[in-house]
Formats: sequence, C-alpha cells, structure tokens
Amino acid sequence: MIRVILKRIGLAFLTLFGVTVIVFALLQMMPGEPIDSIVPLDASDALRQAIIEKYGFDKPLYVQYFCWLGNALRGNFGNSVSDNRLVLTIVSEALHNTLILALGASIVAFLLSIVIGVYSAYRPKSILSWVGTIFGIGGISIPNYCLSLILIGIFSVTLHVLPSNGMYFSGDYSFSSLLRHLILPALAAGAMTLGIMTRMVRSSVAETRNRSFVTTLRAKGLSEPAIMRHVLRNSFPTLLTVAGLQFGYLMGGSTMVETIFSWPGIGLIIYQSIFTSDFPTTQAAILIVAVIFVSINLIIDLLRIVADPRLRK
Amino acid sequence: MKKRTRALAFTLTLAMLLVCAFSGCAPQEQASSPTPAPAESSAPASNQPDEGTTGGTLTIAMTCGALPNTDSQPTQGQEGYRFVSFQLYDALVKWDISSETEASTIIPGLATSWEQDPNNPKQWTFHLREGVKFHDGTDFNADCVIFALDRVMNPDFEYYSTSCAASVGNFLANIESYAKVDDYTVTIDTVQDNNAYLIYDLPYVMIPSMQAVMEKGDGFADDPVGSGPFKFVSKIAGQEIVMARNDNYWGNVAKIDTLILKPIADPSARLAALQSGEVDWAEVVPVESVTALESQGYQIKLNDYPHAWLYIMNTESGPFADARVRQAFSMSIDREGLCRDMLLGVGTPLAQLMYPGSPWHADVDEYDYDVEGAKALLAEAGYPDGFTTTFVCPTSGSGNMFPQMMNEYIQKCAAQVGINIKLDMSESERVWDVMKVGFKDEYAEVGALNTSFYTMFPNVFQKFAGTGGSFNTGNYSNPEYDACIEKAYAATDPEESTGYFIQAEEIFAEELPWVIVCNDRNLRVLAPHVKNFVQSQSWYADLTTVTIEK
Amino acid sequence: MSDTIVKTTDLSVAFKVKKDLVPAVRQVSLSLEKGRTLVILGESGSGKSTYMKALLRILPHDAAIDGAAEFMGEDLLLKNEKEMRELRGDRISMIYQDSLSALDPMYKVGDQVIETIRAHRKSVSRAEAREQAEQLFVKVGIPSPRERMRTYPHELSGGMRQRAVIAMSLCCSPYLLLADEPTTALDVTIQKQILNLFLELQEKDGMSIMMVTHDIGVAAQVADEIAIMYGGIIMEYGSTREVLEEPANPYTRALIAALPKSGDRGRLVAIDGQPPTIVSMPSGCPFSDRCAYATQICKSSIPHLTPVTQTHQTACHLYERKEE
Repeated sequence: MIRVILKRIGLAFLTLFGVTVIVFALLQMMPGEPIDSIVPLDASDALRQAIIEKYGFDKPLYVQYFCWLGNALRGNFGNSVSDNRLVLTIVSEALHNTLILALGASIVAFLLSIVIGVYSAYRPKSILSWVGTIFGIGGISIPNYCLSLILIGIFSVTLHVLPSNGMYFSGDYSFSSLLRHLILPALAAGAMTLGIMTRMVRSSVAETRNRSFVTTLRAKGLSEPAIMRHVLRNSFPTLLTVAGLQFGYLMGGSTMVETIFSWPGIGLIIYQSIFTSDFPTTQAAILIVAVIFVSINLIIDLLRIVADPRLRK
Repeated sequence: MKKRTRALAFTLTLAMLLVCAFSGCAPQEQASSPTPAPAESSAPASNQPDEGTTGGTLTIAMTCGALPNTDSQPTQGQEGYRFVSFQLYDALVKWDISSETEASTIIPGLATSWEQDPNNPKQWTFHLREGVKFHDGTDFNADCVIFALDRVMNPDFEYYSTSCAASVGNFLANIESYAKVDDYTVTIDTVQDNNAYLIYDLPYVMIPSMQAVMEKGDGFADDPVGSGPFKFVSKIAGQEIVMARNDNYWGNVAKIDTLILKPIADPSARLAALQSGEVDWAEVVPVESVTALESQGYQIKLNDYPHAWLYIMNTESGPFADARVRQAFSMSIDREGLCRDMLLGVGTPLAQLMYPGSPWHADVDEYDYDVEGAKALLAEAGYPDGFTTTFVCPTSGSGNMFPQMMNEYIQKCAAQVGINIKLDMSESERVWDVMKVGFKDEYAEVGALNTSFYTMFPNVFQKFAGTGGSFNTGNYSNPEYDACIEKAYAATDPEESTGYFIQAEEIFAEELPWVIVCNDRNLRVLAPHVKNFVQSQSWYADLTTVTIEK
Repeated sequence: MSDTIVKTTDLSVAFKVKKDLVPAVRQVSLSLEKGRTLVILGESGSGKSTYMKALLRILPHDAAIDGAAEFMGEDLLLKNEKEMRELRGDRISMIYQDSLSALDPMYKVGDQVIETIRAHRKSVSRAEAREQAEQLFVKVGIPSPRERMRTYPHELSGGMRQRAVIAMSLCCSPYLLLADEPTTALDVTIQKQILNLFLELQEKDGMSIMMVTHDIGVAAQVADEIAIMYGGIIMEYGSTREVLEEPANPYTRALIAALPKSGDRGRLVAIDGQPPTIVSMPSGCPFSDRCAYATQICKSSIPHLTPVTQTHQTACHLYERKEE
C-alpha cells in the first residue's frame, strides 16, 4: 500500500510541474509583452531599464522560468507588480479568504444535500423531495452570477438583513460579523454543489437501500435509524469522492461570486492580476490553486482506501 | 481500535482545516498606532446649519476591484489618485476642484508660487509653503521635495521605488533635473525649453513624509504618512482603507471624521451596496438605475469634465488615411441619439478633442451628424459604395463607459453611410498593445482603436497627434499642427500660448486624427444624507466639504 | 398445541404489478413444531422465499398478505412494525444464500454480530456482547474466533462467512431459524459441514428450522418434513420418508425421476417445459401445462391438499379422484 501511495504522490508532483510550465507559457502568449503592461508609454529609458532589471525581463524565457520555479520552491514568489507587496503574502491572504468561503459553502451544501438527499431517497414522492429536486436543478442551472445578484437583491437591498459585500463590517472584525457576510456568498457559491450533491446522495442512498444486506439488517430486527446508519456508511465512499472534488472546485473556481461580493479570495486575485498583467501574482496564484486541487484529489484517493475496507488489499 | 483512530484522524483533519480557516480570522490590520479608530457618526440630530455639521463617516464604493496602493504613488490609475493619493498626500501643485461651473485649473499646493527663470527658459523655481506638518508631526521643506523626486526618478537612490516610478512614469517625462536652493525653494529643469506646462505633471508627484519612508522602508505602504486632508488609519487588503480627518491640515479641514473606501468591481453589486445602506456613495452605477434612484431621493451627480470617449484612427494606411473619410465617419455618428437614448444623459456629444468647458476648446463647426454629407464625402474620397473595416474595442476598463453597447450603436450609425465595421472586442490590455505596436503587423487591417482619454493636459495635443507623439498610434503628422504646438510652448505670455493651442485644436477638429464621440459626465450617486459635495469639472473629488446628516 | 412454533393457514401473498395484483404465494398452510426441521423444496419462482419473507414481514410495502400466520400462538400479521422488530433477529432469525451480499461490507463481521446482540438485549455492555459473539463463533466452529471477529466479510472464505452469518442469526437463541438456500453457494464438502452444524445446533438448543432449497439432497439430509412448492401452492407435504419414497403428486414424482442417478447433487433440469413466472401463471393447477396426466379439471381449478396418510398430503385432482 505504501508503494501505491508513493506512486500517487509522485504523479501529483509531475502534474504540478506540468501546470507551472503551462501557466508560464500561457501568460507569455498573451497579447503584448509583459513588460509593456508595466512600463508606461511615456517612460524614460532609465525607468524602463530599472523595471527590466527588477523583473528580469531581459533574460531568455527558460531562464526566467527556472529562476521563478527555483524561487517558488523556496516560497519566494517575488513582489506583486501592481502594488509591490510580497506575492506570497497576497496569495496566502487570498487563499485564506477563499478557504473560508469554500468551507462555508461546502458545509451548507453538504449538510443540506445529505438531509434532502436521504429524505428524498426514503420518500421519493413527498413534497420536500420535490422541493429539493427543484432547488437542486436550480442550483446547477442558474449561473452563480445571477444567483448572487438575486440573493443580494432580496436580502440586502429589499430586506436589509444581510450585507452585500466584503467580509466584515467596518471596524467589527468579530466572528459574527464574518458569519453574516459569509451567508449570501456561501449560498451562491454552494448552490451548484448543493444541486450535484443532492442528486448524488439520493441516488447513492436509494441504490444502497436496494442491496441485499439491507434486507438482512431488517431481518435482524434493527431499527430504521440503525439501518440508515449502515446505508449512509455504505454510500460514503462515493459521496466522499464527489464531495472532495466539489470542494476542490470551490477552492479554485468561485471567481464570479468573489467578484460580485467583493470577497477578496484567490479567484478574484487571479482575475485581477491577469488584467493588470501582474504575472508574478497570476503564476503564483494559479500554481497554489493547482497544488490545492491536486492535493485534494490525492487526499480523497487516500481517504477512499481508508473508508472502504474492500480497497485495502 | 482501528475504526476509532480512523474516525479520530478524520475529525482531526476537518478540525485543522476549520481552525486554519477561522483562526487568523481577524484579518491582518495595518494600523498606525497613535490614532485610535474614531467613533462612528457623532453628528447629533440638531438644528445646526449644514455648513457647520462635523462628524460622521463617509463610505465610498469605488469601481476598482482591488484597493489602490497607499504608497507614495498609487495603483489603479486615476481612481487611486482621486480617493487615496489626493486625500493622504499633497503635491507641489493641485487641481482646483472647488467649482462646479468653472473649468478646473492648477492652483498652489505645497508650493505657493512659481516662476520661470528669465535667463534659463528650462528652469522653474518653486516657493514652498511654510509651516506644513506631515501627519507624523515632521516638517515639510525642500528636502522632502527632493526626496520625493529622487524616489521616483533616481534608480540609484536608496529609497527609489520601482513600482512608484512605474505608476507615475507618464508624468515624469518633462522633468530633466531638480535641485534644492534653500529650505523653502526648489528648482526643476524641464526637458524642453519653455515648458510652461510642467505644472500639469506636478499634481501627480506626491510628497510623502521623508522621515517615515526612511524609517519604514518597504513597510511604508502599510503605514503611510503624508500631509493631506486625511490620515491613514488602517487597511485590510481587498476590503477597505480607513482614513481619519487631519485636524492640522494646512488647507480646508475636512468635516467628516472618517473616510472608508471599499472596492466593489461589479456595477450591480455597487448599486446594491448603495441601496442597502452599506455605502453612502457609489461611483458609476448602471445607467438604467438612475431614474429609479432619483425618485428614491438619491443624489445623482453629473458634470462635464475633460474625459473624451473616442476612436484613434489609422491615419497611416487604409481608408482612414484620407481625412475626408475620417470626417465622413464622424458625420455618420448620431451623438445626440447616443447620449440621449443609450447613455441617458451620462455623456454629452463631442466632436472635437476638448470639451466645451476646456480652455482649449475651439469655437468651430464640427463634423457632427449629417448622413447625406457623410455619403457625399465618402464618394468624393473614392468610396461611393462604402468599405469594410475592423475596429479594436475594449470590453470594459475604467473610463471606457459602456463599450459594447456604444460600439454597436456606432456600428449601426456607420453602416448607414456604407462604412461596415467589424467589432473586435477584447480585454482593455489589448488596447495598450495596439498603441504600442501601432497599426501594422497583426494590426495592419485595423481601422480604428476605441478607448477613452483624459484631456486636461495641454501636452495631449502633442502626445495624441503631434509627430512622434507617444500616444500617436496612427502616426499622424501635420507640420502646421506641430508648428502651432511649438509656438504654444515657446510663447511666454499665457494667453498667447493658449491661443496657439486653440489653433491646434481647430486643426484637430478639422483633420480628426482621432474621432471623438462624446464626453463622459462622471456619474456618481450619493445617499440623501451626504451633503455639500461639489462635483467639479475634473477627475477628482474634494471630500473636505462633504458633511453627513444622520 | 404448545409445541407448534409456527403455523400458516391459507397464507397468500400477491404483488402489485402495474395495477394488477399478481399472486406469488397461494393459500399455503404449513406448520412446524419445536425442534423439527421443515424443508420447502421447489424451483426458482415457486414462491418459497416469498413465503418465508412474508413470515418475517420483510416484503416490500406493496405486497398484499392474506390469510393467517401464527408464531408461538401469536398472530404475526396483526403485529405492528415495532413488535416485528423485536421478533426479528431475536426469536425468529433468517439466513441467506449469499453471505457476502448479506453482510455489510463496511463493518467487521464481529461488529455486525455484536450489533445484533445489543439491538435486542439493551442491557448488555459492549464488552459482554463481544464475549458472547466470541462464544458464538466458537459454537459455529470458526477457528481463532477473536481474530476472525475483526475481519471484514470479503476477507473470509465462503464457508467461514456462512458460519459467521449463522453465528449472527443465533446470537439471541431464536426459536425459529429461517434459512433461504443456505448452502447453494458452497462447495459440497462445506455444504455437508454446514448442514451438520444445523443438526447439531438443533439438537443442542431445540431450535426449529424452516429451510428453503431446490436441492433434494439437502432436503434428504436435514428435513423432518418436506413441503413441495410449485407455482405458489404446496403440491405435496409430509414426512421426509413418505414424500421422497412414496410421492403421491406427479410433480414430485417427476422431480425425483429427474435426479441424476450418479447420486451427486441434483439439479432440476430434466422436466419438460419451464416453471411458470408469477405473471404467466396458468389457471388451474400450476403444473398442468407440463404434467403428463393433466386433465380438463386440472387446467381449470386449483387442487387443494388432501390427506394421503396422517402425515402426508398432496394437492392433485387425480389423487382426489382416485379416492372417489
């Protein structure tokens, strides 16, 4: 089993290496030279030279790449071109914020989807099940941009109960301030996850319930809650995989929600840094997101082995 | 036991994740220590006249997606200057933003007066204001000016900042050298002779506290110190910048206690923040919402200012190399219709470079809407059946108003006279790329470039359409036009100089190397309780007069 | 009749198939005494598993049960779900053919036994339950019981697994054990062991066993009484010796005749035609379309059990007529 794990980790590193090359190459392929986005058209030669020296634009591409990679491995991602702060600081702050959003969205989505999914599997024709289906399909179909604006329109503008932007009230950095700001973006970001997970939970639970061992459990005289525990436990490996992937997507892909809610997360950083041609930040941010995604996949694989005894041989 | 350890490992991982996320939850605040966060609105429900009410917090929603840098030069372009730099810092001179009806001019800032050396037309002497203190109590004097200039012009200087230099680079092209004469006098030498227009560059060279920069080095931006009407309180990356009134300001002391800036990139979200009461002031809201907002009691602020929405024409090759074709294109555009129906009054028609309030506006007939005239001109130029061309346009970008909608409208207008425009819409960075490369190589087939520009600097005449001008993408070259500009710079009498610029403008309005469509009106919306704001004819905002009635 | 453990009278089960009620079990009357083994012998689709499941009331909700069923004098059909739950696994236990799919693959076998114990004996602590489970493993002949308890179902061989399932079913000392083809998936040698185990346990604890199988050899080995089921009805019912050596029903005779003479386990393949499915049931006697002796009345009306001897009954119109 150790060999399997090591092999997976090795593959993960290879994937990440590939990602860095692709990101670097893609950014270089964008229209214009990176340097032209930083140096004003009117700049004096002295200024132009200073900028070239600082960011190493005069070196050949592969040298630039390896310098960057070497530094990156040591945690030095350089300074942001837009505002001179350490890229590492910018990206880790943004990552922290996205983690909060992703966790919020995941927790809401996972809990709700388990409740609705299990209920729907047990009572497919009930009203709650029907409502759950509608919400599920809605979550998948409505673009989260629209959903964000709808939520803001209802809860911020009309009802004035929830804030529409930022992470905290100005001057109030308490947990409850954060929580209130988290509700709407988490709902918007988690809607898709909710839709997908509800359907997965329902089909997984329904399918598991039809398996023979469930009849045995009933024949043993176990109560419904005890039987449900067995059913959930058996559905768990499949759900774990899907849930992990969804969490990975939330970590990397909530750009639209982050923009609308001005939630300063990594999606927003990537988006903005591309527009300001802040390549050091873009490269670092995309690399971090890739690392997270690959890691999550790796962890899921490992957890699957732990969760499903049949895979342990 | 294995089951238990497994469950434990699970819970531990989840717990660690949660702890990671929520611990450092109170964000990294960069606060300057001596100032406690000021109390929230203290304005009592009183019968005091508006003028006298002090106190309160003003929260502004900006259009930028990231907070401007608080270093001595800002990022995020003009919005950075408007809300951050001009509040935290001063420069030698500044724009007069006190009047709604008069065009904005340059007035003294940290320099009280200046004059040209009669013996050396390149040298300007600035007399500095005495008794000014930075927010940290240190004195302002000539050393600080030299320090600020070294910081952005001298790469060998210990406190040189590449990023600051890059931000302000466009405004340094005129400065050749500078020197201290005595504690309150400095000289600046210009690159060109007689460059009386040096003062149009100087409002953007901000002057930080020399002591603070030396002490904090790279950390200066996290705890900046200037001399402006507001001082820095705190900044949370991506969230807000908080400033407090500078009670010792040498100019008009502000009325409000606290200024909070929030970055909200999405226009609908900005509007929502205003309507939900989270901000008191929103820049550039969606045009469709204006009528509704007005009826709800919000204050819609509009004013003409030097900001033109335009097309840089390919005067080098293709159909637009012929002035008649450019004039025909200009005549095909129904500016009135655009401003009235599409922009709902957020723009005014403009067919020359300078808006009517500008000192260099020329009183001439412009090539405005005339479909038949356009067709006739086209036929005369050899295009009786029109032609096809491609325009490169940005999809967004600060100041570009509503490019998709406006370009499509103009596309329809041009089609009426036979000019078939293919719209090549892409991110605003591409516009800069075209300007850098020119209308050649991959952009050889492009007929025009859509963008928007400030026009409050007379040097734009040379930059936009002068031979060799740095923004002269189409390589337009007209000796007569160049001569006007030279004379304008050479003239020592300001009125004479202005007259020459107006002549240049007349040529511009006739030749149309750039076809201007309309002038932006700087739409912003204020909540009913925000009073006494004067929207001047400029890019900037005087926040010292604003009061909050709550 | 305090010795009768379970007894059904005219028990019928019908399933809803697209608005129609299709019968799977038709008026089955059987009884089983304490300490005895009844084997219901029949082909697949004969309704035997459904009958057993009906006793435990673990059929799907859309199954309609009619008639009467008693367990130790109590009416099984009148009990509510809670009461049935108390019975299941405690006083009546069921074991299955496929032990692998009968067990939860995510839990260790020991835990599944412990779970059953604690579901019915609330006062037993985990440690005590573990002790009991270990004892049960010893009882059913599983070597190294403590290690075996910590294994997962897929880690055990078929025979061991079936023993574990049996241990699970015995944990509360049931009065009645229902066994649905318990040895079909096992090798001959293991099969023999398991069947002997059943006999041993029956002797030790006086448990009644109702077993369902299609294998006559198995029936011959363990049954005290045999009921032959076909098409949802009981064709023949009596003591093992009588049914196997003196069959009175043409179906039974055909079954026995179809046994391969070499004596290894029999498979019911040699009768012409196919057994009916519940949706294609012939009217009248279910065997009528395959029976060599079928007459008009066979095709039109269902035969009822008539006595041959005091301990032997058969359901056949021909037999009835013979009596006349």
